[in-house]
Amino acid sequence: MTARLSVFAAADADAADRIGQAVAALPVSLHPGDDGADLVGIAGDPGWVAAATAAIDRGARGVLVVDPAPEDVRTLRERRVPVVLDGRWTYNPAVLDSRPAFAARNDEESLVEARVDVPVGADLERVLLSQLALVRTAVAPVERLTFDRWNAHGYDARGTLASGARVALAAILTDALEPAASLRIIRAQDAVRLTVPDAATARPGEVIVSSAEGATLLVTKWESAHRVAWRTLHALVTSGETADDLLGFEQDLDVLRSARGASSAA
Amino acid sequence: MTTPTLGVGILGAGPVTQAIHLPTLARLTDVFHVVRVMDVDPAVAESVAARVGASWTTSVEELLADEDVQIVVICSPHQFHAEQVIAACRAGKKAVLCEKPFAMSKAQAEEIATVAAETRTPIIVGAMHTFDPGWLAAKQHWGDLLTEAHTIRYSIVLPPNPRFEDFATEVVTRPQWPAADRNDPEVAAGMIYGGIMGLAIHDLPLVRAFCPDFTDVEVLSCELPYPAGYLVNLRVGEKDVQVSAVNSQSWEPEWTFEAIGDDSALRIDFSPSYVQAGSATAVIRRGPESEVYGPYASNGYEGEWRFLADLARGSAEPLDVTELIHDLTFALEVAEKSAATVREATAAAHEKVMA
Repeated sequence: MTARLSVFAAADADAADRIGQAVAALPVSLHPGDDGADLVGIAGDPGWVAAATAAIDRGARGVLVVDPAPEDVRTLRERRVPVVLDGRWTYNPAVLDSRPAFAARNDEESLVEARVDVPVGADLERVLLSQLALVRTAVAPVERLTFDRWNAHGYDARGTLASGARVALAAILTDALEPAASLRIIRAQDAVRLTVPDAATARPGEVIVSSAEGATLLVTKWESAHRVAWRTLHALVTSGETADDLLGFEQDLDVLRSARGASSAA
Repeated sequence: MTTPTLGVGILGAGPVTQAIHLPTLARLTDVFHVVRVMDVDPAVAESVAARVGASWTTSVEELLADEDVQIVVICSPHQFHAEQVIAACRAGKKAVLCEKPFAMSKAQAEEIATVAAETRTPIIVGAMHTFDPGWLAAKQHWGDLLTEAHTIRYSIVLPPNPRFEDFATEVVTRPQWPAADRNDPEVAAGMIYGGIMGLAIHDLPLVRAFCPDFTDVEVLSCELPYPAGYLVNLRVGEKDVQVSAVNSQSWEPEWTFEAIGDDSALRIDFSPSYVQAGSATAVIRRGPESEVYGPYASNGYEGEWRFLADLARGSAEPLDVTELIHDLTFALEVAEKSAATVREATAAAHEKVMA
């Protein structure tokens, strides 16, 4: 039988990802609670690590953070309580489904291109962390990054994966396009293309695997990334497992700081 | 009374002539007929000419001396373009269509401009997307985007050319490209230069349209992907520009142009080269609203030929050759600076390996 866990959402977190809707979409697994609930949702604004730690101190068995800002997470990681980082795109079901196709094509002759379209005024460091999490989850962690530009309209950066694959990351700030992410790997003989809509919509992401034999659209799943993130947290808590999100976030943050430091120095 | 069709002479009868121009002219038999085909390979010239009932030659001079040739289309290797455009102008032809690039240096382009002015010969460059009805519709409707756009993206995933050539025609004799060591800095630089001047050049006029400060070009980075292509980040004036292409066997060809501003954005998806598959589709987005233009029945190949007919008959204003020179010098600057970046990076990587 599914364990039903209570959820408390800080007001700002609820506004950020409409936690109430995700909880309502998992009525057997979750139900609304108050401060001191089993699971706590918090916004990833500056100070979120302290807020998550405080929630754990109050008895939270799991924490979900919406769109986390860059912060040191080592002490939080040492608490060994499941923390799910609900970035802008990572938990879309298409991302997980794309992993085998990307993994099979991740080599030194691959080009990985990732682009996100985000609203004007978005915090670029948070956008980049979400994008790095997307690449890490779907393909592999970005190991090195160099910025070609970082300005009021977005950024362009180049990097590498451990395989030697080259990576091109871009963010474009615009209110003309729907917020979305795309990620593709292109090789001489084949390609994989992933497109991911905003985390709040249940409109599916798409994964298309193509080669000289044709192009295949993988199964489309009409589930929002936010719902998957909450489902994941529930599963981690009830199974007694911890998440890898904080470790990955820490690695991504190192990459961001190293690249931004180099850009500033230049 | 029927209007007599215009006589066409073709210099160079390789895959571009066979798979692009002859199929396009087959759709326009009420406007054109092919008079003579020239190629340095007599077997190719004879074979291609026979398809359209034209005579053939291996001599440029012979073709240009043919008074029935009113329009000359130049599809020869790049290095011959400028001299053949000039020769066609001096031969008193009614109009010239030159495949891009129409010259390989600014000096050549200026010489062409001088001769074209002197002979009053209209010239167009075969940048087919600039004649594509999807692009032309976007131009009519993009409003403030031309000035508002801050980001330009031009991306190609290029399938092997023979795949689409073979859908368009039955090609005789394809050029062979020798394998080259891309770890050699000169080879790597040459691949980038060739990629920009042979492929990117198609839509660099579209990029330039959104970059009023097109003489202020900075290459922020340039990489050579596998197996070929280019990935170039540019600053052109105040615009953020990315120009990229990758050759791939993937069955998802892509040819897109995007101009993105804070409040409006344009995306154009072009149909593949070679095939007569209709026009591009242009989408202008303004937040939740989209305007879609196309696809229209005809493509830019047909558009450029119809315009050529209008020029030859004097019913259209010739293009400003200065604009063609600007297109060329912009492409040359991007190509030269990108190639230099890759040459330097490849040499540095080579030295690192040797150390």
